[in-house]
Amino acid sequence: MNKIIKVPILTRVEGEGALNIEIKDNQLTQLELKIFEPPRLFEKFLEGRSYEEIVDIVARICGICPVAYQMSAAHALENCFATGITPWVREMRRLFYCGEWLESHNLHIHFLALPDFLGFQSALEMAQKYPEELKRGLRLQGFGNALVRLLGGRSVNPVGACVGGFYKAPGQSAVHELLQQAEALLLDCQSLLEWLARLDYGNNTQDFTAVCLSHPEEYPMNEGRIISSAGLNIPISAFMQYFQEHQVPYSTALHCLLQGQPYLVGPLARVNLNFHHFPTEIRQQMAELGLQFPSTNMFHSIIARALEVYYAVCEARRILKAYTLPAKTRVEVEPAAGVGFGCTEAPRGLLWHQFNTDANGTIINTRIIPPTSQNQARIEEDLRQSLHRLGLANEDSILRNTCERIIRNYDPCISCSTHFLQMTVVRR
Amino acid sequence: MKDLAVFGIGSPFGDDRIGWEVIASLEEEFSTLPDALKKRCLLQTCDRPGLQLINLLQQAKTVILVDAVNIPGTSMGECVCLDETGIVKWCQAGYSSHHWGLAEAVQMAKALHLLPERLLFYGFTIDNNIPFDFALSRLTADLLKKFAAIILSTIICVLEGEMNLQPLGTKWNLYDNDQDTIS
Repeated sequence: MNKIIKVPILTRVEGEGALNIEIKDNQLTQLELKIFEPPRLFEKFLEGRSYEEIVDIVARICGICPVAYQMSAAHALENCFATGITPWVREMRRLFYCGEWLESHNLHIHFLALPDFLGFQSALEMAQKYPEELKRGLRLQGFGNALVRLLGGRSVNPVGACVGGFYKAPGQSAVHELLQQAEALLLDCQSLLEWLARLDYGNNTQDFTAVCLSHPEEYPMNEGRIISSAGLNIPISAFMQYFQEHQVPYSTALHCLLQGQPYLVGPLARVNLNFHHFPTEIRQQMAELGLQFPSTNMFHSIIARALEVYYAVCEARRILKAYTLPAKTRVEVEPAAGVGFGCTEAPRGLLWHQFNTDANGTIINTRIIPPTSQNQARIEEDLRQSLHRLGLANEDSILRNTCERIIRNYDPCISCSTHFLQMTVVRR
Repeated sequence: MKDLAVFGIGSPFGDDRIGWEVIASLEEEFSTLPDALKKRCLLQTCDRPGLQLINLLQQAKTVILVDAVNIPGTSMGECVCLDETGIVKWCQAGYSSHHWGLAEAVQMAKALHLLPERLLFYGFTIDNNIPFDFALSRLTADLLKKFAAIILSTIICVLEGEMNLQPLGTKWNLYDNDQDTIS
């Protein structure tokens, strides 16, 4: 029997995607996650540009995670020019990233993902029953915006970051005000984690390879080696030797595989491989709640995000408390011909940049591999496994809702596809 | 908390920056107002605030939002004045992240009991096709001062305690000042 299921638009994700499914003799014979965002061609836009323009341009790749693009680009260019940064810049970049994680994760947890898990069609519907929880999410998200504004000048397309550091140092009174906010929000973080820990997400246990950064001394944001749950441990410069992008005919977004296999990036991958770096108070609360990581339940991604929210507030508090005005906000940059690599942990996962420059620091060519592209193959793999577990004979509406929930769980930022959901099911 | 906040919402592109240009115009006019009035009012531009609009709505007892609109039944050169019901009815998400635009944020604020005591919206009708340049169209630029003057008179009324403001749910033509109901 042939059957067609259409999911016209995938709601509560950024960008547009569609899903085609073919079922033949009760077997899934075809599954294609189609991204039909127009190719952004950012890699070509950057060619011929001065290194001084790059940090501002790449912020426009994504309205949700501009900081991630700025940080990966800045690190790649500094690597290219063999430019080191000061401890102050290093700390401020972590603070900047805390802001972005808080903005992005709280938006996803409260307004995109939770309606799925709590049985609501929308966050607006959910607000009738959970107003205090949503207000808490807004407080945490607002703090994230404030951190990004502190260093970036504004939360949309921030302009404060540059190669070598920042254009301006935040004033002490602004820092003190945010420190007070961070202190007050710790209780919100604990309450959020406790609430999410008690919800039932269903069992979406799967085998997958988690990939993220690893740093010997801290939960990774801007620096580290690339590791995986399957034993990979490589410098970021070796990324292309192990990870290969390829074009699929049905999508404008490139797919990326690790030695020919799908893999997972993002909060669940990070928490699974870096849980030991969380402060004592976070690990203690997790023990009291009876939750363990690493977890292979894909729906525990929301708890992983909540853990990172808590961590970001703790880390922001640490940095704000120790804040002093620097002698200089950025290092002198001497452009040079060369190749440089940057890899940082965007809210959705690894964001890898490579830049080739000439002696003046003009970009010859570049490669940008965003996290959502890296998760495309994993999302398809998840959909296949989940649909088989659910049962392909289920009604179209059930299949569609399941697929939407699974895709949305990855918090895909489809508009970032640098190199949502009309679903078609054909049953034969 | 201020008595009044005016937020000019928009993006850098074409006539979608009308909200920002109104704030710039108001800031010029504010220089002539008494300090006692000025310090009770906040003027601020917002770049595609999405859900963060809800936090902004907490900043004053009365909030005026200014933005570009494209409401059926209105034409370029017309502006509208709406309350929160009108915002939800007429200002559903166009160019916005995750479909959280002005109307959706106001709906959520209402659901969470986070609306200010009084919320007003002034919308300037623009063309639906927003170009990716960074200046107002000639028509919009020509009408900017008139549009800003209407909002300034509302600001002064609010700060002076006047409750009788423009009728809500109306549109008016900035060329000839004709008023009508939005339907």
